Amino acid sequence: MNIINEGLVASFVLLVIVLVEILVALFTARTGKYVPKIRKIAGLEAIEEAVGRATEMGKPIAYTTGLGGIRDQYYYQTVAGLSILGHTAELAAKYGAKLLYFPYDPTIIPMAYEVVEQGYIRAGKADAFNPDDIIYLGGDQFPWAFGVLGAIYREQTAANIHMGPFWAESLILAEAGFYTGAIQVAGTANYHQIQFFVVASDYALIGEELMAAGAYLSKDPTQIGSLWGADFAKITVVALTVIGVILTAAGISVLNDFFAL
Amino acid sequence: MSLVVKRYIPLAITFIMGFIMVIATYFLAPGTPARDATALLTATVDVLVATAGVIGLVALLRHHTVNINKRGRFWKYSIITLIGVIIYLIIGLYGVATHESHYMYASELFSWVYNSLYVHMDMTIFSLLAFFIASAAYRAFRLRSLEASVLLIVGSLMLLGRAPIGGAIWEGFPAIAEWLLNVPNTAGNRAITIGVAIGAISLAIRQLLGVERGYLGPER
Repeated sequence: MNIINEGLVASFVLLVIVLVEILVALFTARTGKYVPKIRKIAGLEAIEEAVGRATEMGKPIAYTTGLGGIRDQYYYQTVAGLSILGHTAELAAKYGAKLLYFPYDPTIIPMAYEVVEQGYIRAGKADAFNPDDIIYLGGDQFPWAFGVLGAIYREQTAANIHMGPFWAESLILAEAGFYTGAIQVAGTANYHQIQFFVVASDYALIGEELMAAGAYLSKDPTQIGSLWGADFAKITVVALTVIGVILTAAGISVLNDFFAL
Repeated sequence: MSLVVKRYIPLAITFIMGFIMVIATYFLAPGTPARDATALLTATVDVLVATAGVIGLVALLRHHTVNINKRGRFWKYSIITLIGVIIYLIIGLYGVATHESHYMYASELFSWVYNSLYVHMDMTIFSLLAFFIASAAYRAFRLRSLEASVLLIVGSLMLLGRAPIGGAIWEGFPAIAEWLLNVPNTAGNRAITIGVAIGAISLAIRQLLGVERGYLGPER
């Protein structure tokens, strides 16, 4: 009888390796022995510029977290989007800009209220939080997308920020913002939509940059340590890939056999 | 008390549930009672999530009612939205109430409204994407930089390789398009996918350990 379920042995071993690397880096940074420096992520730095521009123009900011909820396999992107929403809310409160958030999935509405309110509290302007600025337009892809598009046109938003899992609606939203002249910051880990954001937005977060956002914005050494650990994990995966290619080319199938376990 | 309820209990639930799901995936064989119990746990989440539909309905009705009361921007459209929501809700509930099983039954009228009105409007919106792609492609393909030039060349080759006319002009175009799609494109996609997967694990660890709490509410 196998202890680990059939077909998941290699996956489990790899998960353990990645976990160990991330945890070691996380705790190393937490103890202060070494706190890594992370490169600047232009897309995240640009959020302050976007909020500042909206403040100067006296126009609102539109924020979306894509089509994700908290129960699907894309939840991690939604959660990352919510972390950036909190940061954006804090900046909006600090500068006195109006932030409009359009949740797609009703499961994130309560979280959105909390996250945005938290941002206003951190900025010391809890009274400025207006729950009516969190606008639920429905939970179907294109009606929601055109609801947001309509809001972008009607309100003539000065800045549009899209962070989360996006599908075909990504370009609809990004093009709407382009035509209204808004500064746009967008990010998704859905590789099939990244190109649309890159083309139609001023700044784009590509793939894992979105997941790093929470740690990056918090500037908490412990969280930054986990990003450092993730880099080690990537080196491991790349090394395994290269070794696998060399071994397979040499006719040795040890690694292939292991990953078939 | 508030901090315990709003912070520590959610963090504890997150950690315990995450731990249980990892154990279930790797160590509990499918079909065993223990694995079935964890499946029940997932079903419980579905029940909890289903209640969020009510939150969504209330949020939608509230937003449009407030807009009408305040005579906000385009408030007349809010009336149309409310009428649409309420009528469709009544049609749905009437269908369920009059059906013998009283169970998630889509009546003929309910399906007709969906298939004959909603689907067509939805597809109309979807079809507009073609125009958005054209305008975005026009900007992206302008020869402004080396990257844009590469994009223009690759995009043109893909168009010629995928459209029937490309193969008619030169039979090598489909093969080039296939190679572009299967080799450089797949390599790029996999690099992004690996980065995303590890990034997601890193994010999950931060959340399970309660290190990243940005998605939770105020600490008070």
